[in-house]
Amino acid sequence: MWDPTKFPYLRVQTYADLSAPVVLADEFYNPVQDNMAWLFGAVAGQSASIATDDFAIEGGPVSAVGARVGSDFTISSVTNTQAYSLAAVQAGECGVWNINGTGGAQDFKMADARCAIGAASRFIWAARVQCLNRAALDNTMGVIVGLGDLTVFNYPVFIADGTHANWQVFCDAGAADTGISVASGLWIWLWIARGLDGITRWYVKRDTDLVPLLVASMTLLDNAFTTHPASRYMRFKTTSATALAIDMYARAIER
Amino acid sequence: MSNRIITPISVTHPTRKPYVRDTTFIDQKPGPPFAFFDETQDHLGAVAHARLGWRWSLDQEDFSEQSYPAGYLGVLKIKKNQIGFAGLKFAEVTTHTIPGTCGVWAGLVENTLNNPFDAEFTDLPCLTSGDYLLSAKVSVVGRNRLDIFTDEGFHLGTSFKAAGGAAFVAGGSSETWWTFLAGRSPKYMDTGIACLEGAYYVLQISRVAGAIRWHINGAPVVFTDPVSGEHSTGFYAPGVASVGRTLRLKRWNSGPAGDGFLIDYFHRLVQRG
Repeated sequence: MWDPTKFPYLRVQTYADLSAPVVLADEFYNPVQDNMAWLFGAVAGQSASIATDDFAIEGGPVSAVGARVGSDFTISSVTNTQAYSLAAVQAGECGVWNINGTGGAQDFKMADARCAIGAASRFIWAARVQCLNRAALDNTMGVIVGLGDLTVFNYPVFIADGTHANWQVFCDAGAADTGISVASGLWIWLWIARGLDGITRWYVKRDTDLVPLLVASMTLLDNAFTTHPASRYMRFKTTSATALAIDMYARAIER
Repeated sequence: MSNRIITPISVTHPTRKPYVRDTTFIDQKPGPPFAFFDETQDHLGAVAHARLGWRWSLDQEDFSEQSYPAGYLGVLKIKKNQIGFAGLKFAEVTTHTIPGTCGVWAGLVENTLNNPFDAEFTDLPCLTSGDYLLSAKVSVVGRNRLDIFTDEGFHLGTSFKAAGGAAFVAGGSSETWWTFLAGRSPKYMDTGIACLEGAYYVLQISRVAGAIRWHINGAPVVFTDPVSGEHSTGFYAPGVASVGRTLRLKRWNSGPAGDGFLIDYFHRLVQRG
């Protein structure tokens, strides 16, 4: 459940009666039990906390601090921006909210409730976003999707900005170029996940990719986020009016 | 990680796995259940995708809260609630006599002036060319006084009638549930299942590999073609579909207070893409 490039997101094997491969304990029986335990445990409050917002609720426009975006998010800062639901226009969109400029440079922040992750716990953040005009993004902040506000702490995040043509990753251990371009008007899936090995990994998936691509790996310096709880956070900062669409934003944290 | 597949087995057929067990296995009799291994991977994968992945979207509304923001019934936006003085009045149902009802909200006409009503509810639809499953548990109050089913007396489905889609319908013109599928002739088909006063019904609409099926209380609706007399459990309607959770309820005639509907849940599972 913590790595979008592995089971249960992808099959480990396709089996055929009485043919190879053998059904193995380490790739079928035990992962099935483990992943079922994660998912059922999250429902009952044991194994993990999972929060998923598909932005399926119709609403807006909202443009005030404290206003609700989608089902789970609250605006924490806003300038020249309003958020509202959109009708889906292409297959694969399941409820979309638009973060749209009302004129001039924009700055918009939204987040959900903060979580104490802990140094050893696994986590995974997942989001699907679409940047309408990369040329209008702020040179350093632009679109930020990740675990928190960079003005507070060097959280692990994805960044799309006016300086770089590609999506960037950032955390307290440094920055890296993903090699994946910020394509205006195209959806992109973003994941940030930390596994049992303590390494934090960034993945992306464009609609043309069959599976998520691993684009960066780093070990966080402050692995425990000691004094900085994490949340599903997004910032949208521009030099002129433009829009950012969001289709889904989820996170899971090992309890 | 060999043998990856791109189109896993669907999870939108409510009478098949993973919703029900289809085989009880006994050790060493007969051979290893290889199909079970693939289905298990895909069904477990679908839940993980719906929560944190990219292939499925799952939105649940159990109506489990005691209050909702003005203008909403659960996650559903109240698009219209008019005619007469106050339209439908929404409130949590606090008295339960039927086991299995878990958080129920009512939308009932309250006034005593015999006014008609017209109410619409929806969330944001998904656009998909893939499979989907819509599930709702409802009770219709005063069905025989609602508008006729072809005029959306009670119309629950993927979209409102004007936008097409697939739906369950009921109304003052028939004692039974009917189905609706835009783009097909005839659009409306009789399920033969009674829509009884005070009874809850689990209504499900599924699309698997382009075939739309309707289920009532867990059983597939079986249609008899009025021309050929052939039986079928669904119709082929592939392509991109707009799949929302929508409900319209309409009583354009005068009638008593207390007419309307009760709803226990309204869920949607959609394959993205």
